Order: sequence, then C-alpha cells, then structure tokens
Amino acid sequence: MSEYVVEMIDIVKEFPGVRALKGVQLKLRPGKVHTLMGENGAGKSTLMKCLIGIQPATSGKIIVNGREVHYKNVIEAMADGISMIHQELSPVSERSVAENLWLGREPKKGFLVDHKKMYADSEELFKKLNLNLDPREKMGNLTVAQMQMVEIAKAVSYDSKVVIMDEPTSSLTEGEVEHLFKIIADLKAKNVAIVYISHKMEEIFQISDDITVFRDGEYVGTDLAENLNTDKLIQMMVGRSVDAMFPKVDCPIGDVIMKVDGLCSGRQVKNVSFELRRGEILGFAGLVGAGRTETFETIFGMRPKTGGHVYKDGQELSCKSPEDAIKNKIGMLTEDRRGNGIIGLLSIRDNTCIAALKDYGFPLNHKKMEEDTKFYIDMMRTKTPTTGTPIKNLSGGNQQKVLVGRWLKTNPDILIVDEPTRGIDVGAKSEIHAILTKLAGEGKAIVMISSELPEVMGMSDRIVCMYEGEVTGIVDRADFSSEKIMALAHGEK
Amino acid sequence: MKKRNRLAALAIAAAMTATMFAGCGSSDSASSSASGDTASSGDGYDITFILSLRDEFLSALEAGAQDNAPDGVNLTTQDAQNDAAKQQQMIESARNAENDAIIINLVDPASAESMLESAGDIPVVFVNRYPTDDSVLEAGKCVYVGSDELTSGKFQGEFLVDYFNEKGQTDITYVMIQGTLGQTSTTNRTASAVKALEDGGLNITLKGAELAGEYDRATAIEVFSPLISTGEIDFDCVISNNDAMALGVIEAMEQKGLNPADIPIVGIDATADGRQAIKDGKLAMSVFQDPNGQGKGAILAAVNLIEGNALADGTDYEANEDETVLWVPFEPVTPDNVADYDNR
Amino acid sequence: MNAKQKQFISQNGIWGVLIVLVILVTILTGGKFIKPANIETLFTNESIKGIMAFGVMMAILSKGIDLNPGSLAALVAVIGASMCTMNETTASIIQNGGKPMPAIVAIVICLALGCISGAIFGSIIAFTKMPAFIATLGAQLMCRAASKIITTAPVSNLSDGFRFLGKAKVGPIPMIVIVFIVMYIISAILLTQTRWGKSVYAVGGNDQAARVAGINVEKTLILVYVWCSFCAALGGILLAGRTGSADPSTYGLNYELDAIAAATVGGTSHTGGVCRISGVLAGILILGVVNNGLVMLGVNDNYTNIIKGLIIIVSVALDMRKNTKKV
Repeated sequence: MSEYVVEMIDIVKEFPGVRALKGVQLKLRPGKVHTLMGENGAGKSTLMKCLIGIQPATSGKIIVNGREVHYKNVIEAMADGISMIHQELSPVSERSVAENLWLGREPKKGFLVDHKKMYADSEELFKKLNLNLDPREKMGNLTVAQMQMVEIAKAVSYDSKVVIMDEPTSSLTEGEVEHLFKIIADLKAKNVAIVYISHKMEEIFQISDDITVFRDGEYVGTDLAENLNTDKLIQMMVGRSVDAMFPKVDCPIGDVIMKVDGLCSGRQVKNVSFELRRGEILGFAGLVGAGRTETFETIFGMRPKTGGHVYKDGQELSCKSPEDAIKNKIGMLTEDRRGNGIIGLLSIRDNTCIAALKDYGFPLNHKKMEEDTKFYIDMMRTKTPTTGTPIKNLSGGNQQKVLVGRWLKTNPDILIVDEPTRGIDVGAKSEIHAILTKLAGEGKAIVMISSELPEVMGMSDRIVCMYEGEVTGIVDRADFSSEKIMALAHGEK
Repeated sequence: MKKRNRLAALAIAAAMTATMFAGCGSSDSASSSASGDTASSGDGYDITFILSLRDEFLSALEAGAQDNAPDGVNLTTQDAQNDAAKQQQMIESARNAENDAIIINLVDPASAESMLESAGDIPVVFVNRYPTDDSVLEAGKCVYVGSDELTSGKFQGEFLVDYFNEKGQTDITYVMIQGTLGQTSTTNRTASAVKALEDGGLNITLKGAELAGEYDRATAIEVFSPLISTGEIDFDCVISNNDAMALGVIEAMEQKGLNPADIPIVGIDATADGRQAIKDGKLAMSVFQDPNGQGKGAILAAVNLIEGNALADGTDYEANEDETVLWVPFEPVTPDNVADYDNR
Repeated sequence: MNAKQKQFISQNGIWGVLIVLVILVTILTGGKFIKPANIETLFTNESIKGIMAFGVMMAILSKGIDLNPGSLAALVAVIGASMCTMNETTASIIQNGGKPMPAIVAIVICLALGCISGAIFGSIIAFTKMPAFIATLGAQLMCRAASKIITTAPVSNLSDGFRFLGKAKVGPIPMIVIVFIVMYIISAILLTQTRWGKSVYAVGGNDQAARVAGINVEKTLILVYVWCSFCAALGGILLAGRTGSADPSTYGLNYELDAIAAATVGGTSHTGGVCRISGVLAGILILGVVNNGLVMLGVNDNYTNIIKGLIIIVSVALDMRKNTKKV
C-alpha cells in the first residue's frame, strides 16, 4: 500500500477540438491539504471532474487506495469515499436542509422516509462539525456559506476519505472563512485528504501542506507549501513574473461627475451619500451583504430607488432600467458573471457588441462589429479561437475580459465594476487592473467593488466602507490601512 | 419588476376577462331567446343538450332543436369540445341540476353505457351518433334519434355504380378522402361507400392510400394535391367523407388547371357550399343529412320520453318496432333535386 | 477535420438530411417526386405552416413558445372572409350584404388584428413573467372560441381580390410561394440585420444579462409575439385565399404544432438563444418532403405521423447532444 490515498498518473482529457489535460499527475496524502493552482483554464477543475467521474479521462491511470479505478459517475466515486464540493452549488432550495443532506439516500421505514431519524441524524452530524444550523430550515433561506457547510457535512456523512473543494471561499466573508478553515483542520485530524482549489494566495499559504501547479493543461510541479512563496508560485503559474499586481498610477483627479445623496432602496440601501470624480477609482469595501452591489444596482436601474437623489454632471438622474443608465453613459460590470453577465450561447462578437447595438445601424454593420470585437480582443489579450466562438467555451478570466470590452464599447463616463477579478487567474487579473487604471487616466470615473482587501487598497484613490446598507466611512488613499478598513467594514465607526 | 408594469398587465388581464364574460353573457341570452320566452314559466321542462363539438353541422342541429322546442321547455346547450370526459362531467352536472331529460351527441359512441350511468334515472336521447353497443337503448328511457351512418356512404356508392354502368366501365380506380382517422363516422362512411361499389359489381382499386383530410378543406387540399401534381388525372372518381373536403379537392384541381367536372367527385352533408358546387356542376352529388330534422326529432323525443308519449309523436319520422330508435333518413342530393334543399 | 469544418457540418448537416431524403423519395417514386410540378405542389402546401414557423421560431428563440398561430389564423380567416365574401348572407355576425370590402383594406385590417392580439399577449408574457406556454394556450382557446362565435358555418365564395395572395400565380409560380419566400427574406433580415433580432437572441440566451446590457427585455418580447401573430394572421389570409372559404372549427387546427415541429427540426433550441433561419427553412422542407412523398407513395396517414414524430424526436435528441457536449 502506497503512502498516497489517490494517485492520478498521465491523465489526458480531450474535448472536441481541445486538449484540456496533456498528461498531468496528482498524488494526495491522507490527512493533508493539497492545493491546486493555476490560471483559469489551466485544467484544475477538469482534473477533479476526471477523478470523480463527471467527465471520465480520455487516458491515464487513477489509483485509489492501491486499486485502479474508472469511475463512470459521481455515485461510484462517493462509494469509494471521494466527494466534491462544487464551485456553483445546486441545492433543491424549496426543501429542508436535512432533505438536501440525505437526498437520494433518505433513511427509510419500510417504503416511507423516516423523517424523525433524518432530522436526528442531521442534528448529530452538525453537532459533530460544530455547525449551528437547523436541519428543518428551508435550503433557499441559507446563505451561500451555510449551503457550503451543508455540502461539507454531506461529504462527511458519506465518510469521505477525500474531499475536493473548488473555490470554497469565493463568496464567503472573513468570519465564514475562519469557520471553514476550522472544519478543514477537523477533517485533517480525521485523516481525510483535502483537495483545495483557490486563487487566494493568503489562504493558500495559511492552510496548504502540498501545492501542485498547472499551466495550460500541463503539469508544472508539486512541492511542499513551506518551500514556496507568492512570487515563486506566480512565476510557476504564469511562466513569467507578474511584476505589477496592482499597477496604480496616480492620475489627475477632475471635477465631481456623480453625486449621490441619501440614496435608499428597500432594506438593502440606507441613506447612502458619496461623490465620484473624473479620473478617480473609488473603491467600495464591505462584507458580503453590506449593500455595495445593491447601491449600484439602484443607480444602474436594476432595482427600484425608494429615496434620495443621484446627480450626474449636475443633472438629476433617474434610471428606471439599465437601458436608461447606458444612455446616460454609465456602465456596470456585474458581480454574477454567469447570471447576468455573459450570454453563454452567443459568440464573443455578439457578447461584445450587445450593449452598443445602436452603433451598428440597419442593416447591422457586421464588418464593423467584427473589427470592434477584434480590437477589444487584442486590447484585452483575450484568448479565443475565433470571434464566433460561443463565450461559454472560454475560461472565466477570458469571459470577464470580453465583458470589460462590452462596457468599453459603450464608451461610458462612469464604469462600475463589481468584483471584477473574482475567480479569475492572476494574469487576467493584472490585465484587468491595468485597463481600469488606463481608463481612469483617460478621465473616466471608476467605481470598484471588491471583497479582496489588497485589491481594493491597491487600486483605489478613496475607499467607501459600507456595513449593513449604510456608509460607515470614506477613507483617503493616504490613510489606507487594512485595520481601519476592516473595522469600518465591520460596522465600527 | 416594476410596479407600474405589473399594474398595466393586471389592467389588461382584467379588461380581457371582462370582455370574455361579456361574450359569454351575450351568447347565453341568445340561446335562451331561441328557446322561447315562455321558458321561464313554472311547469317548464329543463333539458340539457350536450354537443360533441360545435361545428357547422352540429350548430345546425343545435338550431333545429332550439327552434322546435315546444313552449315551456328550457333548453340549455353545451359543447364538450370532443372530450368524452368533459361530456361525462356535463351529464353529471345536468343530473345534479335535476334536469328532466338529457340529449347527448356522443363524443365517443363506445362510451354510451358509462354516459348513461352518469345520467342516472333521467331519460336520455342520443342524437346523431349511434351507440356502439345498442343494447343500452330501452323504450321510454333511452332512445336514439338520427340517421344511419351506414346509409350515407351507400348513397355515394350507388350513385357511382349508376354513373359507371352508364359509361359501361367496370374497372375503376378511386381516391378516398377520409375524415379524422379512427372516428366511427369516418370508418362507417368509408366502409359503406366501398361496400356499395363492390355490391354494384365494379372492380375497384384504391389510388395510393386512404388520405386523412381531417374533415377540413385546407387539409384535404394538402393531402390530395400531390396526387395531381404531375398535372394528369389517373383515377376515375373521388369519394370524400364530407363536402368540405370534396370542395378542397375541387379547389386543388382548379388550381392545377384541371376540370373537376371531368370525373365524379362525391361528398356528404350537402352544405350550402356543397350545394352550390353541385349547381355549378363541379360536385357530382352529396348526401343530405338533415341536421334540422335531427335536432327537431331529438327535442321532441325528449319531451315524449318525459311525458310518456309514443316516440314518434309530433314528428315526421318513423320509430322502429321497439320504440327505441327514431330514424331521420339520409337523402341523396344530385343536380336534379339540389334546389329542393336550398331552404331546409 | 478542423473546428471550422465541424461547425459547418453541425450547422448545415440538416441540409444533408434533406438532400438524402429527397433522393430517397425520388428513387422510391420513380422520379415523379422531383418533377417541377410536384415541387411546386410541395412548396405551395408548406407555405402557410412555413410562414407560421418563421413566427414561432422567434418565440422559441426568445425562450418562449406560441401555441396560438393556428387558432389566430382561423380567427383572421373568418373575419377576412366575412368582409370579403360575395354571398349576400352568411352565418357570420359580420355581414357585408354581398358587397365585398376592397381586398387591400380587409387584408390590412386582418394583419392589424393579428398584431394587436400579439401585442396583448406579448405584454402579458413580458410584464407578468407568465410562462408563454400558458398565456398562448389561453390565447389559443379564446381565438378558436371567438372564431366560432363570429360564424357557425364556413364563409365561402370570397372575392378574387382577397384570394389573390392565396390563389393567384405569377407566371408559373404561385403567389403563395412568393409570399413565403418574401417572408423568409424578411425573417432573415429581422433575425440577422436588426438590433431587435440580436436582442431576441440575447433575451433568449440570458434575459438577465440582456437587461443589464441595456436591452429593453419587455419591448423585445412584445415585438416577438407581435411578429408571431403577424405571421399567423398572414397564414390565416393565405388559408382563406387558398381554399376560398373559412371554417371556424377546422381551419388552422394543430398548425402551430407543425410550425413548432419545423422550427425545432430546423435546430431552434427550446432552451433559447439558438436559431438559424436556413435551418428552419430546411426543417419546413423536410416535413414537407415527408408529407408529400408519403402521399405519393401511398403510405397511410397514421404511418406518416409516426415518421414525422420520429424525425422530431431524433433531430432534437441530436441537437441536445450537440449542445451539451460543448459545455
């Protein structure tokens, strides 16, 4: 018996026209956290899908507990104690937590589901994991973090020997992340091997034992976490060093372009006031649910305004829909890329031009559309086979670049970017930062909502902190400190 | 979602609902005035007439029943929209409303027995569609009023036999345009026409397959036109299960530049358009099924059942020996007698 | 084989299917099928449902559906026929005393009625977020009932003017086929050359994203159903014109299902956002070849329907496979 619980050797995965994995390897030690790193599209998630049988590998060998396996579906993998907690959770939101937990394997009494046992088992399980959750709560009422906890509990209930977590912290608050790490420590103590996929450097060095890096579907290397540091990792991932992560360049700040006065929207936005100037990058920091996104959805016409005023260039604005906002030269790169960003089946070209269709007249000037699309692809260094490729075939980072191009095409005075670099790779991240800086330099006003403190501090001229729908403070660049911003974001004025 | 938009939508929906109810209201008042203003008098009979589907023919039948309802009869008509289950519910509602009699135009002739069960003790008149199992008929309780479907096709067949005998032709190829496949009337009309041709001593061959024209003019054009797309007629006659489809055949031939008078085309129903086509010499003959007479027979039979009279009392028709069936005869309509049907 | 060739085949493979089918039927009918006269018949027969398919295609593309075309066509047909009959009296509640209205006026009224009906139901779908299936099912029932209220018996003996679009010929080509071709061209322009067309793709692909990108989703959807209903109304005019009559109970019955089938076979995805107009044309012709060819071969109608059902299921199954593979 080898020292590894899972060994994956020479794994190749081919999709029609694409070789997603070009013979990679991965070895997991029991009781250790093994982090997978790489730019988006490097093949991390694909490799995990090969392991648990969602997308069986084209060739290669997978050995679990010394036995070669070929899982054809998730159920077989689970039976061997391998579970995956996906990036996008898909719970049955109308049913209770316990019902989700035991879905498909409910305890039975004869033919009937034994509800009493089901709830009792759930409570016991939550106690074991130190989770404060009510199994009778409707799944849909849980926060994303709580749903993730349920998923982890599910993995534990299967008595898993390997738990795969695909970007588990991407939508968690700091406190929730702490809790997650405690649970991971518990699992380690129970000799469970954890595969951890993440882009967040701080986290990775906090919890990892082993780190494996992939690049463009190829295996770059595996090492103990203690032998690595951020610079080394980035170099391994991009094959070059990213010298300027946050290329903040001071540019002249102009007049006030937008003034928001006492803005309210239901219970999410309460009396928010701030000013935005030309050439400025205004950061918005806060916890998940602080009302940052909601504030700008209100300004952008995506949710009803219940009070207050918004002025642009001295004129009062009342955008009832994004259509109005775009007419007033405001653009908004939304947080939920899949939900309301990309139009998956449509081509890169259509996705680029869709917000500025009026520029192409009738009949639509397809040649100009093609030229504009190529222009933004070159400008953003977007990786795509053709302009006609459906956007869903691109990696997250490249999708985001297309969306940035879409907003640049509308030539906005004000560009709101909400979590612009969430879940995208380091290379794309720095490219997007460079573009934002360049836009500010051209005299545009940028609003940047980000939950990543280093990002928002690195990029912004000023930071507005919000807590529970209210502005708790506005900090100038000269006064930036993580402690101060975190305190404001936690409601301590 | 913007509140204003939702309000606008609600307003539209409300306006439409109101229009719908207004529509229902007006049609109700129309039917009650047709059944006579004395309907509301104290000793009136409540009778419900449930149609299988309110098409042209059954509308005429409905009108026949309404126009001939005796004073004091309150006649309500309902449309089961070709749904046997819906028909059964309507029968049950009529029973629960303590009607004095129910007239049923069966959606499915095989369902007669269960429909009768739903009617309970209330007298039932089946009209136009003969129950598959006629043992359910019982004098004084449950009777049939209508024509014998098997004779309609027979008239078509006999007409064609005479036509070809006169020409001295014995080997003929025919095109058959059927109604909706699987319906009893379709099967009976087709089978009886073919049988009459064979009984008349002709050697007959079907051209292609039997075409399903869904009793619809447009569908008949569609299924028939490929047979003449080469511009030549390689068959001797066209038999259609109704006039609408026969008219579709005529239309298709004219659009191809062919003369429909060159071969005999025969229909059933003798509708207004059908009779016009007979006068114009395009349709060779049709068979008149008397909807007005069937409607009249049905309502009078219902009253006779309620009052315990003989089945044929007050009608122009003959009942059979068992007093269970009132036959309203089919009549062949040809260029010679077509004018007689103009005001019937 | 490179990606471009693969894409070409997956997008145009349906034309290959059509060609194979045509060859097969031609051989089986001993060449009779391919004669120009029969091709004319085929196009004439499929024109009306084809035009409806161009409408339904847009609804499906927007992730909706329209179950109303057949009934709306019947309603428009009886209204148009009532206005343009040469009979002095008819069963209709609209009487013209034997003096047919000028055809052009009647046709404009009919098309306007269609558009108004589309605007009403489109608004309901767009503003209440009601599933299009439900809203158009309601519309179907109401339109069919309304046509039966308007007339109990077919209205016939229509003026030549009103019948022009459905019956006339330009040289050897039936007018109805010309209308079909014109509608194909208009559909293609709407779909690929207008902002609205692009918007429909976007709304069907992801309505939330479309809204954020500044598209007026409600307006786009209302226009989808206006277009759908315009096509259906035109279908109704052609139906009455072709047959010279309008029957409230049988006209257009189940036409919407044939139209949906043609759009679906043509590769329009019911999950929204995918549609190629040339594919839909091929879909219409495939079902047309089956209808026409099997009549020539003397195949019983029941078997024709089994074959049509199989074609629909197989084509959608292939389409689903194509679409899921890429994810």
